Amino acid sequence: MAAETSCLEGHRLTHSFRQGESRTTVLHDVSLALWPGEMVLVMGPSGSGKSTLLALLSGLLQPEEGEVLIFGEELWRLRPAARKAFRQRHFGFIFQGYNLFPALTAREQLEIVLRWGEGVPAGEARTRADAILDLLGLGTKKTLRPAQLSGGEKQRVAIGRALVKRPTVCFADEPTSALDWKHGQHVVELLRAAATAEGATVFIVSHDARIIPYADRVFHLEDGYLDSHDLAASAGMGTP
Amino acid sequence: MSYSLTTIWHERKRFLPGIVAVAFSTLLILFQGGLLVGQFSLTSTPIDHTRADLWVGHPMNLSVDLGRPIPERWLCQVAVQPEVVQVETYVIGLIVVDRLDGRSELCTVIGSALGDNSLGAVRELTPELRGLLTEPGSVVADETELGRLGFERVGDVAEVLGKRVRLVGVVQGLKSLAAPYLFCSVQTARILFSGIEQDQTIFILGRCQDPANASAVVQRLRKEHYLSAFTSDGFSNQTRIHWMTATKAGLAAVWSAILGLLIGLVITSQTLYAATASAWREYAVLEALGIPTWRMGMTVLAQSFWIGTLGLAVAVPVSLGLGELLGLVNIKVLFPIWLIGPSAALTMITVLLSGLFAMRSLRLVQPAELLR
Ligand SMILES: Nc1ncnc2c1ncn2[C@@H]1O[C@H](COP(=O)(O)OP(=O)(O)O)[C@@H](O)[C@H]1O
Ligand SMILES: [Mg+2]
Repeated sequence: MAAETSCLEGHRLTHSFRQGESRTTVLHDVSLALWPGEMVLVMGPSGSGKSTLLALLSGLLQPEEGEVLIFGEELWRLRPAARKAFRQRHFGFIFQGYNLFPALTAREQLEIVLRWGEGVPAGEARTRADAILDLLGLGTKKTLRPAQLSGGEKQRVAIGRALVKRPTVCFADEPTSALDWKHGQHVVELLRAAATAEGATVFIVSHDARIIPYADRVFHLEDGYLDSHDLAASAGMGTP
Repeated sequence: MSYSLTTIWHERKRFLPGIVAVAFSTLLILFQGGLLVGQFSLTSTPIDHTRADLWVGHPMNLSVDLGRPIPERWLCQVAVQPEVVQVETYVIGLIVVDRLDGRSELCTVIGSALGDNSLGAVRELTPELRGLLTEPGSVVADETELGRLGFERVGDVAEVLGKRVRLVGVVQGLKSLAAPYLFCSVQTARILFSGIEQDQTIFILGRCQDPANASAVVQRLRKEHYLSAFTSDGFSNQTRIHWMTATKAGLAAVWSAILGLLIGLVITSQTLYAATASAWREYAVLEALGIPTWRMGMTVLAQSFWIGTLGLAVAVPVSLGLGELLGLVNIKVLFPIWLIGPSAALTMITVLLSGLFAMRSLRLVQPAELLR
C-alpha cells in the first residue's frame, strides 16, 4: 500500500482476562496498522484472541497496555462520550450473529443508524439505505423482515447496516461463520466491493482460511501473539 | 415513534400483558370514578331538575339535603336584586317515614311551589301531579323506590310523626343515593319536617332575567348578607363533593385507583424491561455504532407511550360501554370529561414512568459482549 498515513494503529497491545483467581493474558504485545481503503484479515484458531484484538482496536474494550491511535489521536485518552462519538463517525461493525431487530424491515435496520446516529432526515436516510441495499443485491428485499430473509441475506443487511454511514473503518468478526461457503464467499465479495465503493478500510478477524484471497494483507494470530509476517504478500495472493 | 409501534405490533404477544395491565388499571379508575360520579350526582337531582338559577340558604349550609332553617323574610333580600325576576321558598329535610308494616325509612322530603312557573318543582312533576300535590299530606315518589317506602300503589299511605302521608303519583328517574325523595308542596313539607317553624324556610330559590347574571348576584348576596348563596351549578357541585368527601367514598376510590396504577406500573415496566433486555444484542450493535443511548431510551419511552395509548383505546370505550349497560338497569354512571381527561393523563404518566424504569435495562448493553 502506498498510503502515507495509517488510519488506525494498535501499539503494543496487551490484554488479559481474570478467570477465577488467575489472570490469562490473551494478547501479547500486538502492534498493527491499517491503511485507508485496504482489507486486512487476521486469521487464527478459535480462542487465539481475534475478537479481543478487534474489541481493543475498535474502542469497545480498553487495553491493559498499549495504545490505539486513530488518525494519530489516542482513542483511550478521549472521554467516554467523545470516544462514542468517534465510533459513531468512523466505525462500522459486523458481528458474528446478525443481530437485526426482528420487527424492522431491511431498510429500517439501516435507516435507524443514519437517523439516530447522525440525525439524517428521513428522506435522505431512505435514499442512502436503498442505495446500499441495491449494492448488496437486496433491491427486492428492502421491505422484508429478518424472519423472511435467508442467513446470507441477513448477513448482507448487517453489512449494509455497518457501511451505510460510510465509516472510515469497518470491523467484522467472523462474518462468514454462520454461512455455508457459497453464501460466505458471496458475502465477502460484497463486503469487499461495498467497502471499496464506500471507501472504507475493512478489518476482518476469522478462522475461515477461504477469505484469504480477498484480503490485501493477512496476519496470523496464535495464542495471543501476532505474526507480523504478511501471509498475502508471501503467498502472492490478494491485491498488490 | 413508528418503529416502536411496529415493534409492538410485531411482538404483540410480548407486549400484550403490558397493554392489558394498562387497560385494566385505567378501566378500574375510570369505571369506579364514573360510578362514583354517577351515584353522587343523585344527591343533587333536586337542584339539577329544577329551573332555579339561585339557591340561597343558611350560612352554614353544606349541601342541598342538609339545609338549615332561615327566616322566610330573607326572600326580600333576594327579590330586591335587580337581575332577579322570581323568588320562592323551598323546604327540604330528612324525615323518618313509618311504614304501615311497622318498619321505618329515612327519606328526603322536598316541598316546593307547584305553579306552572315553579322554580323548585322538579320537571318530572306533571301539571296533573302538581295539582294532586296541593292536597296537604300528599306526596310523589320515584317508582323504583316505592318498595323502600312500603308503598305498593298510588293511594297507599304511611305516617310521619303520627301524621298521615298519601302517595298520589309516581315519577321516573328521580332515584336518590340514600334517602328516597318525597316530592310535595311547601305546606306538606312544613307539616312533615319537624325542624322548621311556620315563618321559616330552608332555601330561597331565585330566577334571573338572564341566567348568565346568576353568579354576579351570588357574589353580591355573599358580600352584603350573612347567608350562603350559590348558582344552581355551583350548588350542585358543592352538594356532590360534600357527599363524596363526607362519606369517604371519594377517598376509597382514590386509594384503589392508586393501587390499580401501581399494579399497572409494575406490569408495564416488567413488560418493557423484558422486551428491551431481549433485544440487548440489537441495542448493543447500535451502541457499538455510536448511536446515543438516549436515542435508544427514546424508543423504550415511545413503546411505553404506545402501550399507554393502546391501553386507553381499550379502556375508555369499555368503560363507556359498561356505563351504558349499567344505565339499562337504572344504575347511574357518568363520565364527565374532567374524569376521563385526568384519568387518561394519569395512565399516560404511569406508563411513561414505567418506560423510564425499563430504560435501566439499556445499561446492561455492552457491545464487547457481542464479540465473545
Ligand atoms: N470477557 C472475557 N472474560 C474472560 N475471558 C475471556 C473474555 N473474552 C475472551 N476471553 C478469553 O480470551 C481468549 C480469547 O478470546 P477471543 O478473543 O474471543 O478469541 P477468538 O475470537 O480468537 O476465538 C479465550 O480463551 C477466551 O475464553
Ligand atoms: Mg471470536
